[in-house]
Amino acid sequence: MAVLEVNGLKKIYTTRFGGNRVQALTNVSFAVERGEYVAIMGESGSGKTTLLNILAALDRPTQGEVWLNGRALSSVSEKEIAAFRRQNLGFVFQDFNLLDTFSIQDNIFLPLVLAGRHYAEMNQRLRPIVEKLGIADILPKYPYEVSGGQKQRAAVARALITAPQIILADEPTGALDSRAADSLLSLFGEINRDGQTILMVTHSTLAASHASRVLFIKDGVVFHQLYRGGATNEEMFRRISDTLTTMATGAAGAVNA
Amino acid sequence: MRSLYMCLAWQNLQKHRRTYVPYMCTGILTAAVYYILHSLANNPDVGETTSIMLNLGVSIVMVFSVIFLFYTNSFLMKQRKKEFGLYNVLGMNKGHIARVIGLETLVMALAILAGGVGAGMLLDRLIYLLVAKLVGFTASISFYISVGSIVQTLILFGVISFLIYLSNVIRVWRAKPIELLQGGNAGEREPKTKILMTILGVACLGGGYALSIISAQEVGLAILSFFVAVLLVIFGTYLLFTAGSIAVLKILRRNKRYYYKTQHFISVSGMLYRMKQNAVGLANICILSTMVLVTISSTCSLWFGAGEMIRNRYPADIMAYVRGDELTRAFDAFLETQVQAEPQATYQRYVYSAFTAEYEPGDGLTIDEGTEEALRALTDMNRMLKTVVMPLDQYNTITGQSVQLAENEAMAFLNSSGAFSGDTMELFGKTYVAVTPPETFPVRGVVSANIVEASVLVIPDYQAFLDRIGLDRQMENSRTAYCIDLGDMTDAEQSAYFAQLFEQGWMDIAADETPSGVWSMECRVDNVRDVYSMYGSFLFMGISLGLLFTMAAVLIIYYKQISEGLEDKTRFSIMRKVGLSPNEAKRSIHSQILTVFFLPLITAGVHIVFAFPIINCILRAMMLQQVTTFIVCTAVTFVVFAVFYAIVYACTAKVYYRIVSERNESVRHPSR
Repeated sequence: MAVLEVNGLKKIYTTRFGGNRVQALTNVSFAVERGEYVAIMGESGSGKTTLLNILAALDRPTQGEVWLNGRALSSVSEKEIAAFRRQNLGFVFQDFNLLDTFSIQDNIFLPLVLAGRHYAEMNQRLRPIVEKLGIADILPKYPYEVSGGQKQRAAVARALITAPQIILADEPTGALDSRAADSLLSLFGEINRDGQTILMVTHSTLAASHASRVLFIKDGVVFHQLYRGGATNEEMFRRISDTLTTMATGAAGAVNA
Repeated sequence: MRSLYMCLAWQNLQKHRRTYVPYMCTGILTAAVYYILHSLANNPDVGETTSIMLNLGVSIVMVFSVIFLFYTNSFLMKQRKKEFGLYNVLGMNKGHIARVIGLETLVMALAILAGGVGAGMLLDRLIYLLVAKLVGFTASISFYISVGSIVQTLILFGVISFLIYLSNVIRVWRAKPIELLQGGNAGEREPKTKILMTILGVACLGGGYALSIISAQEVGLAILSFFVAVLLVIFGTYLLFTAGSIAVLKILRRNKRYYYKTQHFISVSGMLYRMKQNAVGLANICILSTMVLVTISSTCSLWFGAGEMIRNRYPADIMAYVRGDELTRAFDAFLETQVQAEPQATYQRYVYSAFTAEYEPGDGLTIDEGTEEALRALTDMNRMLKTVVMPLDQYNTITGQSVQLAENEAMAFLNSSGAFSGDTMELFGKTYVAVTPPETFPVRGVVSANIVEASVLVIPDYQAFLDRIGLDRQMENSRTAYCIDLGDMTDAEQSAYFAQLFEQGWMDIAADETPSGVWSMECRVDNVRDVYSMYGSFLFMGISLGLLFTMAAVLIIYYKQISEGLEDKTRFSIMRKVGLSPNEAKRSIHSQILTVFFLPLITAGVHIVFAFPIINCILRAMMLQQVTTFIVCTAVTFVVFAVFYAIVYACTAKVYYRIVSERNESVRHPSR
């Protein structure tokens, strides 16, 4: 059964004075099955961040619908939306978005505190996650005291602690060095094998090569998709590179459109 | 090229109008107040006492302007560090930046000077009339511009602007571009709990409070220890806000049940994160608020108390006191003829004897040969009691009662409050049993012009009492008081009547016949002017300085919240993504701002409560008789201030919320 279903999404931005209209998404449709690990690739300006914002209910589409677990996002009122977001979605951002005012532990607790959970329950949920992510010993530290890789693991823990339907990751390796990126990607793989659905937006071929399926977005439409099948990460990497090359050369005429 | 800099400077001011407009308003208001005080102080109409007071005010405002404009400027510059860094990176050298800053300062200075002097001139007349009313001189209505004051204001604020410009240039000059670019982003370490500082702060504050309570026993001690107490409290406030607040917040954080609630979670961590820089600002606000409350409430009390004091001292338009039988008879005859000659005038006379008694609260009261001697050695004012002894028939006349007393009974009451707590009274060898009178009245005039409490004893056998104390003491202590009312004569007429008929007419008789005795006479209107010119200028200074301090406190709060809002923008944007709803955000912002706002106000309230005894004692020495006047004034001032404060709070919270929920600079830029 599909956890996430996206149907004919269209998004047009209008500038403040109504002059320019920019079409960020033309017509995007896809579905993500439970337990899947999907990467969405595209260049800057291809509309992938807009797509993610809409999926995260931070922005509303001009046309089309997003279904999360059978519920249409447009049916969630503005009032419920914050609660809906923290119950169903987990976020991992490129620049971590940890708060300097909180210790690592409190950063991880944040969504649960917002949901009004008790400390005992939060603590119970925290233990297995931090053990798994290997950040148990930095819990009392502050974000500015730990490395980038550790920060991103803390952010992943924050996303996982609400047991969300789906994790939305926006360029999660973008601010990491290659070793930290590698270790984060294998962590994502591990989490996914435990049954967590992940949707990752990236333009890194390496990051995308860990996914079970890769969607390519270009000029606001889903241009192509790759299934892993039984391929290894290295094979995936090669196939993604090939696709990207084809996209860049084969559709050269459409680039400036 | 020149116009480019002007353009840039103008754009900068517009872009930062949220911070520059309040700065400009402050400057204008300060300059206007300075101009008005200066022009009033040099106005020949206001009189010498008032002029001295106003000149003192001018100096205070001058010092205040320098400190305050520098303070706000440094805040503005801190906000703009990054901007200057960017100019530098884009290829402007420091000279160019200095030029932009110079132009900006020039624009601001011109606005402040023009606005300040303009507003000052407009309000000058109004304030002048207000002062005339308070101080009681006759004001000329003509519009009047003081060139000297304009020049003085221009010079002072011109120099301040120039100094601010210099300090800004030096600031830019000394900074490295990379530092300018990074600006305020330096990560702040979590502050450590400072136990020693907390203890010291508590000790200072406690010491100040204790000093206020203990030294309130005696005026001399109170005046001496007032400044020590003030310093202790100020010092304690700074220590407690810096160290104590961190300790408290950490305790709150340790309480998991409290801390892990949405509003507390966000606000406690946010406050803890920047408490180091917060604390001094909060302490400033607290001390400024306390200053405002103390100045306004005590000057108001003195002003309102002055009316009361005059009412007490002058139950009638003219008061005369005569001692000695012969002289009294002569004065009676004199009044008879004089008062009949003037149809407006009426009078009343009563006799009494005044003593100083030794009083043991709850026990009784003694007056005898030894008392005066014993009291001279006594320093405790609370055991001294001015006492008026008067005959029963006179009491019945004044109150309209027809009380009968047994031979050994006497009625007793205290002049101010009425209740007398003793059982017996011993008057020169005779012991009376105290009886509560059906009605009391304050004995006014010279008896009440004293800082110690006075009691009134009404005895049935006044003549026997006079015989008992002997002629010498009769001569010393017995008086006849005359209360002469002048109907609806104007002040000038009253003054003239008093001068002519009493001072001259009576003086001739008293000099001619030389009857043995002592007399004194006072006219209310003559005295009112002096009293009001002093307390009126006190009140005016209190209010104008109070307003200035209030404005300072408001601006500090406002700037604090704005700079915090700018810092918090990122935090709230992140939390919104993680699932903080706008309502929750609003609630947690309110909880945070509420604490930041009302902590200083509450502390100021506590300061006022503990300052009460010592200030009350000092005010009593300045002839304020009713404690209730001071209590009411303080309470009203506090309430008005709190309401005003709440309004500022609401506005600030709104601005803060708007800053925090602005999306254009959110963490992730949406691709457009």
